Amino acid sequence: MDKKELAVGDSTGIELIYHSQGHKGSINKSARVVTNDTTTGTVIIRFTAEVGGYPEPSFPLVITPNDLDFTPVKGKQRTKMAAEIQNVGNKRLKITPAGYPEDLFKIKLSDLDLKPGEKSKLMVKLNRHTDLEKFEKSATFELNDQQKTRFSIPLRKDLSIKKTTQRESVKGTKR
Amino acid sequence: MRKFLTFLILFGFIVILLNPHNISGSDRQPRAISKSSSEDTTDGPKVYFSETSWDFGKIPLNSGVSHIYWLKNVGTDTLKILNVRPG
Repeated sequence: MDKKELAVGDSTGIELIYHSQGHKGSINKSARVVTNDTTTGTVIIRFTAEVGGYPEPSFPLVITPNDLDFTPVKGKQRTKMAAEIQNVGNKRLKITPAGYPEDLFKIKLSDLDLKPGEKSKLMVKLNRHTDLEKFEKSATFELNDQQKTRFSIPLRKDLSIKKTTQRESVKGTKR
Repeated sequence: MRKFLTFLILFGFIVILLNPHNISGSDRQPRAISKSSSEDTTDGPKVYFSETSWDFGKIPLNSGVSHIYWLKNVGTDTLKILNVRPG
């Protein structure tokens, strides 16, 4: 949350971050937002997810890799990452982006309409001004099947983890 | 007789079109009125969320996801976010 006080007509965003950390199955979480707006009262914001929903035999897509990590490798910055999405089901599927932080990323799919067996290339590019040392975001997509199945691909970067790992490995070599 | 019937049918259509309580009108109008009236008459801060729920759908094991919920002050005074807590 950027601001705690909003002038008339002003807006801000509240970000909810969820880590599955070994959990599997359906989750339903919420947060209470308390403001000085006495007429509306407390607002409850919610989210749902199915942890471990993919890769799974019943899920008609195979996403490789299923987690896009922008953390630099050997000091080389990663400004774009790609994933391959294959329709391994027996029905034609249309993929539509449902939501992602557009201020940070540009997302492009080479093919939005996949016949059984077909592949699409997902390209996620960091915007020029995205200069964060650490982020934990995700992009949500929706399929045009009967259930309007959704799936999310984590997008992350964490320089602190790499630094810690390097320090630990240095300690290890001294011993 | 035919002219009279045509006139009656046309008159009926005009009455239906001009009636503010016709089916399509009543579906749209009250919502617009209630929203604008609540915004116009509310004194003080007023919070408006563009959405209050999000479905991530299927996510991989041991992963992190995030979503931003946007809110706006549509009131007439400064809106203070006092607390955001899980559950």
